[in-house]
This record gives sequence, C-alpha cells and structure tokens, in this order.
Amino acid sequence: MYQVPDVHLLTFLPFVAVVLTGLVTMVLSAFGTEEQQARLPRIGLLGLAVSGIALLLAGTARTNSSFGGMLNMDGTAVWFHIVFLITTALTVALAADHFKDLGAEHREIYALLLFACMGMMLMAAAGNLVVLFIGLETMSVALYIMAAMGGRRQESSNEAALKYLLLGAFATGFLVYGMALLYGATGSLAVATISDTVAAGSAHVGYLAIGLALLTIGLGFKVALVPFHMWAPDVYEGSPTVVTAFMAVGPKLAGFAAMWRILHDAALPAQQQWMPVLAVLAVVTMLVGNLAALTQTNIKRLLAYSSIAHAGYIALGVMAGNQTGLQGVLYYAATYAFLSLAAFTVVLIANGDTNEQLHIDELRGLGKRAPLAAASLTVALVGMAGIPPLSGFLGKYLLFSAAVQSGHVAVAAIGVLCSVISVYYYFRLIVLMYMQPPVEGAQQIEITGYTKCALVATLVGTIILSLPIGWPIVLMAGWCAV
Amino acid sequence: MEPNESIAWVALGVAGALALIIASALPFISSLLGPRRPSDVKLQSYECGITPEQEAMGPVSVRFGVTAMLFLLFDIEVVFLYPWAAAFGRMGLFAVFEALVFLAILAVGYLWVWKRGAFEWDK
Amino acid sequence: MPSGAEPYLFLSAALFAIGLYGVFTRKNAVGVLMSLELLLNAVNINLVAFSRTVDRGVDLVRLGGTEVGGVALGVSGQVLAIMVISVAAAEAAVGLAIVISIYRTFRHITVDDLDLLRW
Repeated sequence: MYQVPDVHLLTFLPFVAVVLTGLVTMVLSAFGTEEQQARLPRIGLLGLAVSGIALLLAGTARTNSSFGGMLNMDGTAVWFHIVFLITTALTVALAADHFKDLGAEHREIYALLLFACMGMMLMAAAGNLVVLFIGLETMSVALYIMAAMGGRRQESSNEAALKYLLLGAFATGFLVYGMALLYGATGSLAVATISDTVAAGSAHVGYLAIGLALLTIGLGFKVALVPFHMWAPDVYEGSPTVVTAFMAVGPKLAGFAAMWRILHDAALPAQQQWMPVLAVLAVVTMLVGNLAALTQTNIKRLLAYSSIAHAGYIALGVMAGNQTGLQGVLYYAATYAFLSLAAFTVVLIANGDTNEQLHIDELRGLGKRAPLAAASLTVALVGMAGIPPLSGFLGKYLLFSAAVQSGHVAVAAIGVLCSVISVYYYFRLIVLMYMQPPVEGAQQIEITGYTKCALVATLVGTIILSLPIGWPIVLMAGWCAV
Repeated sequence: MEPNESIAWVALGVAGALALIIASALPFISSLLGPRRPSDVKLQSYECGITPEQEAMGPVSVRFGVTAMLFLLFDIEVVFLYPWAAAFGRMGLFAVFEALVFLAILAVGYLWVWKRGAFEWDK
Repeated sequence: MPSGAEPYLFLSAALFAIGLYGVFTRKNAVGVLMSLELLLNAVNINLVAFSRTVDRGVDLVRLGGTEVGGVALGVSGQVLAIMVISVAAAEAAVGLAIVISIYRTFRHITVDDLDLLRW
C-alpha cells in the first residue's frame, strides 16, 4: 500500500501556466475569430509572464521537490527556467511579426513554442530520467513540426524538418539506450538514487560506462557537439529563421541542462569516466565550429557553426563539473541566449519578408540602412567573440577558469585560441555592415512592432549582463549553482 | 534431466524435422507430378464474378495515412490508462483527478484535430 | 555478477544493431522511420528486463511505499517503457506527416536525393 506522492502546487505552477497558455492558444488557433487569432502572440507572452511570476513564487516554496522527487526545482532549474521563458517570449515576439502573413496553419507556432518551452523546463527540473525523457521529447516533437513551417520556402524547410526528425529520433534511440543501461547499472531511474548507488560503488561498472557513453552521444546530438553536429547547419539553414533563432538557443541550453542533470547530479562519482570524453568532445567542437565558420557565406550557416562553437565552450563548464563550472554554464546560458537571439533578429530584419537565404554580402551597408539593427548585431557579434567588457567575455572567463580548476589547462588554452579565431569571422560581418556600401537598390529598413521590442530587449539584456551591475548576476548564478 | 524427458525432446525433434521436410517437399512434388495447362482465367484473382479493374497493389490514397496516424496517436494514449486502472484502487481521488487532467488535455487535442478538418474525407 | 537480464540484453542489442543498419542503408524515408522505431523498441526490451531483475523498488519506497519481503517492487523501467512507446508513436506520426509533405513538394521520398541544403 502506498500513499499519494507529495504534491506541492507552488513548485509546478510555472509548468501549469505554460501548458494552459499553450492549450488556450492551440484552441484559439483553430476555433478563434480573426480578432482572437491576431491576439495569440499577446496571450502567449502573457502566459509566459505569469509563468515567470509563478517561478518567483516557487522560489518561496518551503520545498523544491515535488511528486516524490520527480521534479527538482533547485536554483539551477529556476535559472534555466528564466532563460527559457525569456527565449520563448522573444521568439513569440519574432513570430508575431514574421508568421503574421503566412497561412492559417502557421498560427499553431505559438502553441508549439509554448509546449517546447514546457519541455525544456521539464528537462532542467528533472529529478528522474523519465521526466527528463518526457521533457526532451515534448521539446523535440514540437521543434520537428516548427522546422517544417516554412511558409513560402516549403521545400528547404521540409527537407530540414525531415533531417532534423531523422537525426533527432536517432539520437533519442541512443539516449534511451543509455538511460536503460544506467537503470540496469543502478536499479533506479531517480537521479538521487542513481547518484547514491554510484557513490556507494554498487553500480554495475560495465553498464554504467556504456550507459553514460550512450547518454553523452544522445545529448551530444541534441546540443550539436562535434562529431554529432552534421545536422545542425542544414537544419538551421532550412528552417524558418524565427524557428532557427529558437532552435539555436532553447534546445541547446536545455540539452546542457539535461547533460548537467545526468553527468553531474546523477553520475558525479563517476566523473573520472566521463570527464576525458567530454574534454575531447569540447576541444573538437570548439575547433571544428570556429574553423568551419570561417568559410561560410550564408549567414544562417555561419551562425549555425558559431552556435556549435559556443556549445563547445559550454561543454567545458559541464566537463569541469565544479562550482565555477556550473556558474559559468548558467551565466553563459543567459549571455548566449541574448546574443544569439539578437543576431537572428537582425538576420530576420535584413531578410525582410522575402524569407530568402541571406548571403553575408547582403549585410553590406546595414549600418546606414538600419542603424539600430546594425548596432545590435555589432554588440551581439562582439559579445560572442568574447571581447571585454561585454558579457561573452565574462562567461568565457568563468568557463575557461572552471576548466583550469579541473586540471585541463591545455583545453582552456585551446578555448582561448578558438575565441581568437572567432574574432575574424565575427568582425568580418561588422566590417561589411559599416565599411562597405550597400548593394544596388537596397532600401532603408524600418523596424517596427514586436521585432523592434525583441531587438531592444536583447540589447538591454546583453547590456545588463555586461555592465558592472552584471556582476551581481554572476553572484546570483553562483548562488543558483549551490 | 530425466530419461523420459530426454526421450520426449527427441520425439519433439523428430516430429519437427518430419514436419519441416514434408512441408518443404510437397510443393516440389506437386510441381513435378502435376499436369500443366495454363490459361488467362487462372491468373485472375477471382476466377468467377466481376473482372478486376485495377491492380490490388496500386497506390492508396494518402488520406488513409492521415486517418491511420490519428488512430495511432489516440490509440496509443490508452497505454497510460491501463496502469492507471491497475493502481486506481490504491490511489483513490488523487488518481481520478490525474486521469481527468490527462483526458482533458487529450480531449483538447481531439477537438483541435476535429476543427482543423482531419476527419473529413473530401476536403 | 549476472543479474538474469543478460539474454534480453543480447536480444535488445541485436535488434538495436538491426535498426542501426536499417537507418544507415535505407534510402526510403519511411524505411528509415521504421528502423528508428526498431531502435526505440529494442531499448524497451532492455527497460522491461531490467525492471524485472535489478529494480529494487527504491523509488517506490521514496514515494511512501514499502518493499514486500525483499521482492522487487520497482516498476520505473516499465513506466519509462510506456513513455517510450507513446513517444515513438508521436514521433512516427510527425515523421509520416513530414514525409507526406515532402512527397507533395518533391514527388519522391528518397532520403539521399534531398540535397537542397548542402554542407
């Protein structure tokens, strides 16, 4: 006879808010009048805001675990939730402008974004591998559909969606196999119990090693670590840019949150097994991502490789597995979210409504055609390159010092070297925007509505994280990391 | 192993081998011995009744696929209700509430699919 | 120390390998999807086998239950298997929908010939 598990409403209220909003937008996208459908983005934003408030309430709850430890709303989870809510809100704003004129079947994007957001939140708060798996799949399935919402570019977006789905499901296979072996090694799927069993040394050594390897491969696909990155440039290029913006941030960071939950929370006692693997993956990812970005001429592909490189930096923090590492991962997650979303917002603006593939030459003279967008992109690129005083520098500093603390000086040195390489391709874009004349017949671009809000929000976010007032945020990340 | 038991295994093996040999030999024997008088009528699926108009293995309308997909989705969700039913007696009202939440979300999906016209054959 | 799950592990590994082979060699998108389903179902065998052999029911105890005479009560592997089944169905549905959409735009579903997006 067992009792009903402990349920603390406060701890899962943020999820309820997002799911209910998702359901409401889904129903309205089918049943609503034209007027109601025009209001969908606002409803989505409202729901995300409510979820944010609920998150603050969750912070005041007397316990952070619910459903018998299935949900674990610790500082790390709350931090990631804030990042995911902001990411989703900005993407909803971008979709409001850029999906407005597309057919009725594109209105489901708001519901899908909210469901994906809920999945990512579950991944970050998972206290059990079952919950982690459900979160991951909720996110992935929503993303597969969104990748296919190509509007006028149906062909390449369909192809991107199929590639994403096939590779994603492939990765899921590895991930679940890894979970099964971890279960076989420890007799439990609960993160806390796995950790106890591994620490007590009573876990089956072989199953544990193979299981962790398979889990790393599965999550490596999701966050696009080299050599599991092959899908990323194609999918990022083919998907609608709004969706690419989301894809480059949300699922990647959620993947790292999940990686942290598994490798650190569940398998820290076995760190000697996974640390070298992750170190090698991080080095290869940083090198390949940055070197491949050098030769790209399509801006979405360039940003795709750049995002692969950033995954390499974040992997350093996960690899270190210490306090500084988590602090770095958390701070860099927030930083990267703003920088990457800013860059993709400018790509959307420069694209106009033609939704064509953007060659980097089309950025020429953007400084004159759209000063605000050019300024934002400059801030984003300088931040990504890791030039002080922008937030990217501080984030990389934390990640690299975590790597040094864990005894990987050479790995950190390669990281610094890669950041230097990345300056080249980031600054090439800045030079194009300001030093080159615009293409013949290029118009002034007016930025309005939601897009402008999103652009300003990313800029403000980056500046807040960069300014000296950003330091309390670093401390906060440290506090969340406890 | 008991001696009787081992004899039983041998008997089972002999029976199996005989079945295999006879089953695979019969088609050959009939094709060797049987008379051969081919005609067009014999090639038809039905030798009597209406003459077939098209190939049976031809392309099938994609609408069947959509219907099958929807059936698969809603059918598979029942998999969650079976363990729920098994544990229901021990969990009481809490379980009722949980299942209602699950079914309500499922119902919203059903309504959405309905409204978007996935159940209509001629669209 | 054998746990009793080993024969199932071999079966599951063999099925997983067949699935992998299918994913890499199939040219038809539906064939690849079928192979992916095989991957997930191979893992399900693992989960159920482990659930019968190694799960000590610790999670259940955490939830307020008790171990009965040292017999394993844990069913978390079976729970995950059920989740995997339903997720596999959802993925298959979305996959088939995308394949239909691909067929409408390209008039074929051969994976190797989809090369609008290049490296």
